[in-house]
Amino acid sequence: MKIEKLSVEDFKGLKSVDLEPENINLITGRNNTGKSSLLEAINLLFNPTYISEFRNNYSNIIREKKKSSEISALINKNKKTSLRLEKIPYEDIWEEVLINFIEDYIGRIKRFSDRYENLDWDEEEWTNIEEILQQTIENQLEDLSPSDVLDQPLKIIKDQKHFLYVLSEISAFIERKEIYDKLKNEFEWDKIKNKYQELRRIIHIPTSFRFRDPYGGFIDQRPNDSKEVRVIKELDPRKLAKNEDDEKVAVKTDDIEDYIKKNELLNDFKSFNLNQLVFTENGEKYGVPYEFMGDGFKTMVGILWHLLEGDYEEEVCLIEEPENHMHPGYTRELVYFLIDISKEYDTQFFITTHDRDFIEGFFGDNIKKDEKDYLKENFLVINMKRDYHQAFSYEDSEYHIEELLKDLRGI
Amino acid sequence: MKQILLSEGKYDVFLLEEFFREYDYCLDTFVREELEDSRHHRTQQTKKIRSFIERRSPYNVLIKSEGGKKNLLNFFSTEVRYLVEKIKKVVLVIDLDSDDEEGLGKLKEKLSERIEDRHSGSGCKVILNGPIKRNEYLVALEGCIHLRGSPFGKFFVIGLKPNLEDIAGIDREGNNKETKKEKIKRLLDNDGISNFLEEVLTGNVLTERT
Repeated sequence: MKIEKLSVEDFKGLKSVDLEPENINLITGRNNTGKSSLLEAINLLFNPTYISEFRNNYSNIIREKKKSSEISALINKNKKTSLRLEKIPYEDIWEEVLINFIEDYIGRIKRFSDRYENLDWDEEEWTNIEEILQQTIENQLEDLSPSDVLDQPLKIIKDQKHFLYVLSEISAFIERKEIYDKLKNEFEWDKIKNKYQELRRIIHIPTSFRFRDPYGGFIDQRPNDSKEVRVIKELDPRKLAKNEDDEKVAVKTDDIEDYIKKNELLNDFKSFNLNQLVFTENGEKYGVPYEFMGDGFKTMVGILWHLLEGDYEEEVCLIEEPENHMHPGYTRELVYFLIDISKEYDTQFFITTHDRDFIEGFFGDNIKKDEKDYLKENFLVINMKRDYHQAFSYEDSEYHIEELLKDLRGI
Repeated sequence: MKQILLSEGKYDVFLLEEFFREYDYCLDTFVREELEDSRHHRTQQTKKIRSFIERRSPYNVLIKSEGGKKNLLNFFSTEVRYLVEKIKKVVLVIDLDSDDEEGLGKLKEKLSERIEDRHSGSGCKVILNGPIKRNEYLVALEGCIHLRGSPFGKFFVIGLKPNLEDIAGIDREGNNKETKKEKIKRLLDNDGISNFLEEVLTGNVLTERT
């Protein structure tokens, strides 16, 4: 997949951004100019469930004083995809929130009940319980004002499909004691007393565990996320390896060892695994725990782990400041590596940075001719300013490099 | 094998460039005096050295001038440890300002002292051996850096007796730039000078990390 055009309107601090991205896109600029916001907008467009990572601030992703935000892109030779976020009145969503909440609450109690052997309700018993729960909760919630309970609701329109998203504090308004008492009064005590203690515990569960505030998210239906636009976030290969099969882990570990040797990332280096690195000194071998290695090296290894085996082939890869903690020597190696991966696997990168060495690396003396030719066709610098942005091709960036770098200095 | 030569001025760079022209080396230069914006020489110098050190750099020789003896000693004593760690062969090309043993002794003393002072925190000791080669114009020394008692790296010093201009017969005031260059170029017709440089710079006199 490749993003050929990108448009972002009123998203976080971004007023309007229109771009024709290339395969390697560097998003530069000073702090608070919207570099990360642009990356987030791309992520959200293709992965709408990413909205949950904004937690209670989700509605603030629509630009201040605006009612809606729109992100759209042309992909794969002019196929349009879009995401529109609209603030909607609380009342428009209240009924659906209530229905969903009550259904969800009762459903969870049923599921937890099923796990306890002595809570083997017969059908009649469970129908009674369900009715009591339904009525009691409805009564408890009926006088609430939606704006007191809900955060700003959003309508999310992803390629013409509508979804509703809201977080709330609704579960805080459930009075559990009333629910126990109702159940207790409704049944003949002798019949349920053995079950009561368990039930009491189960009634607690929804409000104390998964149901704790904020309750909510997508109401009723969830949109699907793309598997072709992903963020590189986790950089600890030991955690990443847990989700991969042993063979792949072995191959990646071996690839990284080869890469470190070939590119001389470490002096006196002998071998690499996820726990230890082995070095030699005066013919003697010694191990260093992976944990003890420098942050720059660990960041490099994390990026290699994600990309070296072509896991992002023909995909879009979003990376936030990959050069963080890196010595300029590693930064240069990272530049060459990203160019190679983009060339070999047709991976499209969107990378935020305000690192001079990283940007300059793309124009360094040691960029080979074939890499330079590739960059001339496939490279874009997006220089974010407070109220606007400028896009520079490879040759334009090279010509304006001093201005671009100067922009990264100062406050 | 990569080799960096650090010298005082642009005419030293010219001499060394002319010398390497006869050989199959891929050469790059950095002449501080010729920078358009000398205020940023540190940034440009760092970029040049960093690029040169990289595995993928096409160059195997970098010749650099520092714009004077004071700058050269300052730069060399500060960076020598990094350079010997990263570059196979490091050569300092410097005027002795005398053609007797006293001048050589003074240089040895000054150089060791400056390097040891700059790296005092790491128990640095510099031993200058030699002359390992000498003739009436040039003298070569071999320097060994020891850190906390262990050998760390080596470098070479080529001393000019007493200086490049006098060896080439340059009239500092009277000769124009082209004449100066012509006279320097002619130095390489002198077998004593060209054979000396050949042996030290292209021969098997290597410095290796120990």
